[in-house]
Amino acid sequence: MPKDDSKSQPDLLQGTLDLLILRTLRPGPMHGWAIAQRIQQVSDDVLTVQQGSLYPSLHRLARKGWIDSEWGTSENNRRAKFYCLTDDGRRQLAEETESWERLSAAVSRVLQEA
Amino acid sequence: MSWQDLKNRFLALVQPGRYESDLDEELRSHLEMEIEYRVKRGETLREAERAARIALGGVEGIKENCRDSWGARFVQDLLRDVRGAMRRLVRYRRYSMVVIASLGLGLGAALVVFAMVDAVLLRPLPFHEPDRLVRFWEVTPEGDLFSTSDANLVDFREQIGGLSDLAAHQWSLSRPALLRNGERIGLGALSVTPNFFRTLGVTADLGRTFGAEESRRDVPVRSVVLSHEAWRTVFGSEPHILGRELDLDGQVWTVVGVLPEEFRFGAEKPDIFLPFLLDPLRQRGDHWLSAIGRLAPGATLERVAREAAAVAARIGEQYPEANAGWGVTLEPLSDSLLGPGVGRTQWILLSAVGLLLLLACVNVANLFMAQVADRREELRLRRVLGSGRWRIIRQLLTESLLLAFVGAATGLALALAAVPWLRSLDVRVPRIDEMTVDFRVAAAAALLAVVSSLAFGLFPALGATRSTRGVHTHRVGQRSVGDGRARAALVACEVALASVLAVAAGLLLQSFGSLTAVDTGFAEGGVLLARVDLPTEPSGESGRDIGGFFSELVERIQGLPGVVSAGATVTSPFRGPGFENYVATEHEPEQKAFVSVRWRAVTPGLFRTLGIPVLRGSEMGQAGLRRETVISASLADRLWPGEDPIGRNMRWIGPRGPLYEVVGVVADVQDLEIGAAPEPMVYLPHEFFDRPSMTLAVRTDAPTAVIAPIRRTVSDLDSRTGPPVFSTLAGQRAEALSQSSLSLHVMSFFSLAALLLAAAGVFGVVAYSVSKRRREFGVRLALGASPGRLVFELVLETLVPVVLGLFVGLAAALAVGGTLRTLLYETSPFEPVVVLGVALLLALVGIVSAWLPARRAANLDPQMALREG
Repeated sequence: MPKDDSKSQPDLLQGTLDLLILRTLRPGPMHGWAIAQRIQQVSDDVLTVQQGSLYPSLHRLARKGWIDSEWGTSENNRRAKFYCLTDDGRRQLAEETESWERLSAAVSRVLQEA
Repeated sequence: MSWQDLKNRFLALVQPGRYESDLDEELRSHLEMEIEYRVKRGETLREAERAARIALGGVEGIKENCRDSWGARFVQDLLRDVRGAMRRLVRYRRYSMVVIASLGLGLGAALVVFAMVDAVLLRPLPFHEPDRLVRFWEVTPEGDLFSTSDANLVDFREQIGGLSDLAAHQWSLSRPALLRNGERIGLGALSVTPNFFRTLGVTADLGRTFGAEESRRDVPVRSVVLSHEAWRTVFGSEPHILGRELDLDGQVWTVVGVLPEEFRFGAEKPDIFLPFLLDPLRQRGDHWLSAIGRLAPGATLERVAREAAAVAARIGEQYPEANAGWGVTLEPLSDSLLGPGVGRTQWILLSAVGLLLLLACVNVANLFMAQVADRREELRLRRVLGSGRWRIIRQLLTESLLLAFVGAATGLALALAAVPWLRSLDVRVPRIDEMTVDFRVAAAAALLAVVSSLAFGLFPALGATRSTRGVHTHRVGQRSVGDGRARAALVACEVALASVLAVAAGLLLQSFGSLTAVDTGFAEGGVLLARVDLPTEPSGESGRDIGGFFSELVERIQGLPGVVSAGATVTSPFRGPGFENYVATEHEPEQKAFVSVRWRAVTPGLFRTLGIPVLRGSEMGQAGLRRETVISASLADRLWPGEDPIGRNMRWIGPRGPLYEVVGVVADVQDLEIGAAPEPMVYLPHEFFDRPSMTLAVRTDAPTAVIAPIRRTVSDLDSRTGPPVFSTLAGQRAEALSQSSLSLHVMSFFSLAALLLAAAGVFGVVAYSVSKRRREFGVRLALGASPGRLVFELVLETLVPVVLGLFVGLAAALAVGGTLRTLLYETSPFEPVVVLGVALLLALVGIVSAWLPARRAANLDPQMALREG
């Protein structure tokens, strides 16, 4: 797959991962590994996050200013980088959630039609 | 892209190290947590480690992706673009050379003009807060600007609150001789009041400037301040110069300071400054001082001018004989030091060079467009494969920017060579010697490079990347219609710009021709001039018979072999306005009927020497004991219309002034502003108006042979006198024209360059057209078309935009012609000869430039052309 800026050719999977990460962070800050675990848990193991794509996504979201990062201590007294949602991020989450719901509703309608 | 986004990108760019170590630690901690989790679930440590690593995947790959997402790729891409652009530049050498040459020419010329305008107009004067400095003039009751007098200046200084300081200086330099190691060196000296430097706000580089010490009235103070240049050239930058005693005209003066290098005052550059004190006992009506002042903090020019006018009125009431009806006016010092018309000329030159630069950019745009059109397929392919549009535009702009910077560097090199050469030409434009290529010029070069690269690069880049969809054609030889039209438009632009510059140059040429042909009234060939300065006190007195000295000198020189005739005058021709005063007929009772005239103090023999015909009567008598005068023909007409003025008496200065008998009438001469109408002139015997400095005029067949004998004659008569300064009458006249000459040369150069660029542009377009339409021509030739006809068609095709451009350009030239009026002498801005000439010239250039490459079409081998399809 050509390496490209995520803006011009949005990879569907990439965009969805971003959305899931933002949603997972809504209740509060979490570190990278925990985010991956959580998504897997909540989706009943249907969605397995490619751990290799997790960190590039996190970094991209941080660059865009939708999440913030801070070094802290994990529950096991381990040093880890925690991410949390910013105000911009919250807004982005709301927008993308709405888009996603519209999209999936439309797809369902078409499938039912046929 | 949000603000936050940009900021974070920037941070990543400048602090990559921190992000790397951060990322490293983050991934490591992830692994550890994964391992811990797996161990808790029951795997062995080794299994857990292995599984965790596999789950994460290639760490380097992740890091690479993270780095990408941080936008550091931007810099990598940029570097790649630059490398690619450099490779292109080397590969397409001919194209690159033409582009760089065009840009170098345009940018180089622009930088030179910018350096000139910067030095003459833009750079602030080297004084403290120069915009608070004013030139202080008194105004005669007739409204002429005039100098002020000692007593008046003292009163003005006291009574005008709006000026925090008022200082005076002599208008022209005196030339005392410095005795050093037995040799006499003439120096230019400006006498100033002790507060002169304080008013300007100038502090000395070494030592001090004048101050309280020089204001003492009990002992004569002989301090000298040196200019930086004089310290360097005359004294070899001697470090112990302070306190040194100098022998000036036989008197001892002490050096108290050296001025900073950037100090300048006026067009003449004084080597030394001497202090003099205002003499309140001097006649109030003796207006001989030039004054400058500094506005008090918070005061405005208008307010202070009004205040000064009120004070002047008061003085006029108190001393009606000297000052009744006199006023005061102030003008900013920078304007007064610059002189009239100079600013206008500079802006005109700047506009002209702007046109030239534009022309160069249009030329390059044409070439660039052709280049890009050739790569259209490649670019389209890249877009289809996913490259962003802006990414490609960025690459193309990088190429154009690289070319522009190389062009700018070439231009800068040209400027570096041209500026010192221009400086050495000794053009009489104030401050032009300050012209230099410094960081301001370099900054201008960089800015111009960026602007011009956008100008010629943006539109072709936008055009080439417009569509991604569309039929992917294989036909390499196809040219799009829109493309051809754009290039024709560019050719028209080039021709238009070139014609504007050519018209301007043509008009200036005609004007200059008229100026040089003007009859100034002198017979100029073969006249040597020598300025002789007698040693004096700074106040101008010398306690000796100056008149006698110069009379004797002229007589002796007359007797030298090779000398046809000799004379002397106080005012050197073409070197400045000289003196003015008022005259009237004998019985005129009212001052206001007096006529303003220029006057010259001369010796007999001057008219003959300068070739000024004596129309009636004779020259003034040899002995100079009688008050006689010779007047110019126009003045004779004015004072005694229709009558013979010989024998009449002329009243000098005012109704109670002395009488001079008119003994001769000479032809009018114009020795000030060539081309202007001559002003009434009065010649008076030098014995009554002696000045310690006179210019000898010597008509001779062998000017070089006569120089040494003249020098000897001068030093024989007075050994203390410094060596005379030689020049020629023709040379001084050329100097007077030097400002016009400069404009002419610069504009001619521009229009020549413009013609060259336009020709190159037309040539390029036609050559390109021929190369692209080879197949078409091949077919036609194979079908039996005559090669001559093909060439004819091509040339005709090109002529369309050329003629269009001509029309537009000539119309534009006529429209802005009015602005050139100030530069033109006896030439209307709409001279039909010039316009017609330019039209023909450009048409010819267009035809030839089109015909040369078009011939290639005729020489095509039809079979080869067809095969290329």
